[in-house]
Amino acid sequence: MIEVGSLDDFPPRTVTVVPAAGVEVGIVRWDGDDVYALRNVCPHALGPVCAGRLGPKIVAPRGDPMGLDVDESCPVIACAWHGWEFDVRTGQAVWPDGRMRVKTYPARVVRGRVVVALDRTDVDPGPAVEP
Amino acid sequence: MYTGPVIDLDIHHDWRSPDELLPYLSSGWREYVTRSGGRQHIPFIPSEIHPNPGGVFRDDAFPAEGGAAGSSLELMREQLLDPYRVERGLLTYGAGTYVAAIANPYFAAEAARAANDWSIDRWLDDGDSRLYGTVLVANQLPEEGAKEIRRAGAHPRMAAALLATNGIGKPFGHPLFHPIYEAAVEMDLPVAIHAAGESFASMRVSPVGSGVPSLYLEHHTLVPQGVMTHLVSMIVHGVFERFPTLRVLLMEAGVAWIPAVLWRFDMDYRGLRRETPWLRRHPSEYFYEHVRITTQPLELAPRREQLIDLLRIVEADRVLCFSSDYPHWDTDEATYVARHLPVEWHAKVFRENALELFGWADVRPEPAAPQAAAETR
Ligand code: FES
Repeated sequence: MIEVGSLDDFPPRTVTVVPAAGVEVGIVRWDGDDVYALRNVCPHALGPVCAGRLGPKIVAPRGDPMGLDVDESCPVIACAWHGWEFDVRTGQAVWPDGRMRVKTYPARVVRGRVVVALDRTDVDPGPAVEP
Repeated sequence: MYTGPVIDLDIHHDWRSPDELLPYLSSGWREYVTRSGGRQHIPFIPSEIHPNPGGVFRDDAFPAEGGAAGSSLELMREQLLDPYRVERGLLTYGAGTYVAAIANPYFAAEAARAANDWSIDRWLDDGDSRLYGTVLVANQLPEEGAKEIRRAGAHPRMAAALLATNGIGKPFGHPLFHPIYEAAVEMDLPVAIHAAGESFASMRVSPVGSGVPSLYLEHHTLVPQGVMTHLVSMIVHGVFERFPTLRVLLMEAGVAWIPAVLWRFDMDYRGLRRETPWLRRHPSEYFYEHVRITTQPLELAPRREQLIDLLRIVEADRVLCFSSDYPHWDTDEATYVARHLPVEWHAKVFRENALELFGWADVRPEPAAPQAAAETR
């Protein structure tokens, strides 16, 4: 487990890129103690995914263009380069049946400090490929 | 060799002269057409911007007795229906296809209604039982178009609603067009979208992107652009989410552009999903489920295998439906198309895909006529 800072260093609903064991990790603090960690490498073209925009997933509850809503429980990061969206909780692509994913790490708050579990295999996961 | 029955989904039937429509107009509109224009009748369809230097018809398709190419059922039988074993043919009008290019939206609605009645009278009820009609839709007034789909589409041999020209200046996915799709779904008719509809001087939109072309070659090379616009628009606006049983036939736009558009569409969707969260699938999936496309004009690749390789990518054996575009200058005859497509696709492209699209479950294979000229290799 690697400590990356105090919870207060990560304001709610922000993403902050920190170095951790030689890799860049995006720490997302959502609401309360919800923290997530993603490798700052996009599976599309290896762009800095965590330098992109964070927000709740936009949804269309009626299934048509009228009355869009957000799913507050689903934080989504839109990659800095081409805007492909990933669910911060799982790293999974947000588009339908998306199998591509950003590498994620277990993260939690311990006594006010944010800790992330990294191991050697995390160092170079390489790009995922989705047909 | 393909010796089975052929379903041809784009046959342009025409009136010998526009005067044939006069009895089908209401008295007021008849008066408007025949008198208010001075010595000449008001033309039903405006003239095209780009004249084809050779004309838009096959030279041999003009009836000996006079009249427009496509206006003689006898000649159509002789040149198309009999020699190519056409089991069912979809009639798509001549110049009338482009009724939505008429600037006056009220006259356009009346002209469409008259043309549909003319088509039913002359070609369906008194014509050839192999022929099926399309309901011409003047989409300038979508609610009126929807009414016409419900009215003329009730004829048992009306098989589709025909959109050919963008009469509003917005691509066909715009919600303004929804009444048309609602009516088509209600009548269980596919919507056929025919290319080249914006090439009229009366149009407010360019027939191709980024400016109006000057020459026919320039225009005709880019004709698929309009169809791409409508296809992308319908998917983006969620037309197929709103009308999950809607079926669409794209006509006369060729086929080789499909992979490029679908690939880009799916790629862009990944970065722009948040703009269209009502889509529940990748754009290409809507295409495969809801859209079929006619073969003509089949692009001529430097080598036959190149086109086939390209078409395999888009599962052409299940999305393509044969069309001849008779009697136009860029017609594809069935023999030619059969030579350019793999034998194992023939039954589907020449027949089965169309049967499925139109729900023509009643048709059974008929023994092929033993005519040497009809053999498609
Ligand atoms: S590199 Fe992330 S979306 Fe392309």
